[in-house]
Amino acid sequence: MKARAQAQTDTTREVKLSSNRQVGLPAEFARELGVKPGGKLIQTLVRLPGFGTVVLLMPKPESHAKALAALIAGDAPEGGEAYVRKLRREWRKRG
Amino acid sequence: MSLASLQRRLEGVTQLSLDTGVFIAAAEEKDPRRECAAWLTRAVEQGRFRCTISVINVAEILAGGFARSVSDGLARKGHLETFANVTIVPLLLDLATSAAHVRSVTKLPLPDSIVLATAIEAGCDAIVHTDLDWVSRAKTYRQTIQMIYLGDHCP
Repeated sequence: MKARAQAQTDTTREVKLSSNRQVGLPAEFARELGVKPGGKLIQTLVRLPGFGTVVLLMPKPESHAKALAALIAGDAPEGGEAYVRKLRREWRKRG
Repeated sequence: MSLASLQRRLEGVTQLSLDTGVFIAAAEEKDPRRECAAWLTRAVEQGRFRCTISVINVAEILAGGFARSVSDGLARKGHLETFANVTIVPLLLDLATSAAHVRSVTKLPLPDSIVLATAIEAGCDAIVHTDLDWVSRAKTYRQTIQMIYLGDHCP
């Protein structure tokens, strides 16, 4: 019971994989994501060295271009041209 | 010079590559090239162009995300991988060889050379970039691929 209680918080749930590899999305999570049954989600898997493997689940946006731009916004207040030049200069740096 | 001039320059282009600066400019409120860059990314999504990008572009776009949080980096990866009409090209031996050759010809830094070689090897009609150095250094390839400096149209 203790382990179960620890796995059930507002933002983290322990779920069981069914025999056909399905998991349930808690109603609160679906509400937060703004998805309804039949709605589309995106799963992305990343192997992070030293951290393990992670899967992120997010709602499929109407526009990936807009969703991506919203995430990138603020990365480069100096503008795209200067930002990319700075990143590529890192290749020339020596330790 | 305006979005209309960029659109005219892209007439006849069906397959293109977008360098990282285009994705960044499309996102940054104060970037003077935002309108053009945002039009480009939306035009790809809507099927006006098929777009090829290098894993170098992906790493650069994700770098800012992971600098903020793992979930931000993951979300960017998810959007890029499911972005309609975008193909992400891995860096394998043949492409690495082409990139090294492009570097020797252009004297461009290696990441720029990988990005340019990726677009050429993918058979893109054009690459839209944000680095003025490309205009002079990569002119050898102007017959192979149209190199379009975003600042020439949206200064």
